[in-house]
Amino acid sequence: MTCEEMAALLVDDRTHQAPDVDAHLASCAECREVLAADARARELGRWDTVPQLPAPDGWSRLGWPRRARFGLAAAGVLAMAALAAIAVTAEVGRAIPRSDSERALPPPLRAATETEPLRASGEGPSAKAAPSGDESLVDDLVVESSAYVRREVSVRDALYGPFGDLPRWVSLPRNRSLDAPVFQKALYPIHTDLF
Amino acid sequence: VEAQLREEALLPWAGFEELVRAEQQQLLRIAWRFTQDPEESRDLVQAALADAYERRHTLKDPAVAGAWLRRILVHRAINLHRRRRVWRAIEHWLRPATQGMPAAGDSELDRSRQLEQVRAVVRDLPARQAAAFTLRYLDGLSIDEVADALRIGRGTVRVHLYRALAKVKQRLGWKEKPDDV
Repeated sequence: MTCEEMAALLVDDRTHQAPDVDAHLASCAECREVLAADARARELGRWDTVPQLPAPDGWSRLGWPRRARFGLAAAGVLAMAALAAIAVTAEVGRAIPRSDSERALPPPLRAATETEPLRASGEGPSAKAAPSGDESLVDDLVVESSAYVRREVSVRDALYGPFGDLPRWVSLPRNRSLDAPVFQKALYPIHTDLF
Repeated sequence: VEAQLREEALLPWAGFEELVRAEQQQLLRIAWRFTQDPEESRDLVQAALADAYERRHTLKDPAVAGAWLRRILVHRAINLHRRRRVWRAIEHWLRPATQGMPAAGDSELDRSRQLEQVRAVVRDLPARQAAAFTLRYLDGLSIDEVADALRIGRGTVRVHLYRALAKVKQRLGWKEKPDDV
């Protein structure tokens, strides 16, 4: 039996008179101190008198100031939480793009392959007036090249309209076909005054 | 059975007021041992009585209603002690005590000072040790009554008491007197 186990027996009236406890006490100063402390605490407890505490007439009326304080604190916490929630919602609402129904989108353009409207709206680059030859072919080439290399195709293209705002975020990478040697060669005469 | 229990729980408890009248002084005394404050004692008892009323369907034997109320009160007191201990630990950390406790003699004034010192040490004990010490030494309950109030076994009560006593002895510098044994 360890000293702690033995000492635990000392605090119990039923066990601290056992013969093996006495034998242990004779040889263990620490356990004797525990026994002495036990006696001292008991004696001290006898001096610990409780003042007269009159019981109230109705227990339900007790503690209302504490409950009121708790209620006020809870109301304050709730108010702060509500304000924080409103602030967070407003911030998030500002960050998320609004849907088509909330905001008037700029008038959509027709599909990139349909070059005629670009020319009609004057949005496409104007071709240099060709002094001779088939002007319409060169003009078509200029407008169509412009349509190919347009950036943010998904945003501007009416074909993506039914899909909502999502294409806005997944717009296609910039088309670099104009940088290809073949295109450069084809477009070279347009950008120079060869015609 | 569950429906019956729920139905019983909703019924008013006819003998509750009578039980409260019979037990309130003892409950107030135990609550004061834990709080040392009249208002807090009343608050603690009221909270325990509210708990008891809500859990009245768990009282199987009305003959032991007093011990049942005491268990509920001690449970509340232990929870209160735990919360206070956290705050006291923070307070100690912010404002560490600089002076030790002065040794006390045998006069009445010294005894009340010793009691105050013991209470201060008990306030810093773990909740169950503090409860066991308070009920056993300050309120004078037997080991069996302490075990019943704390809902633990006699052996566990002994261990809690021994550890609490060892800490009190160490903090207050209690030494064995020659005529003690």
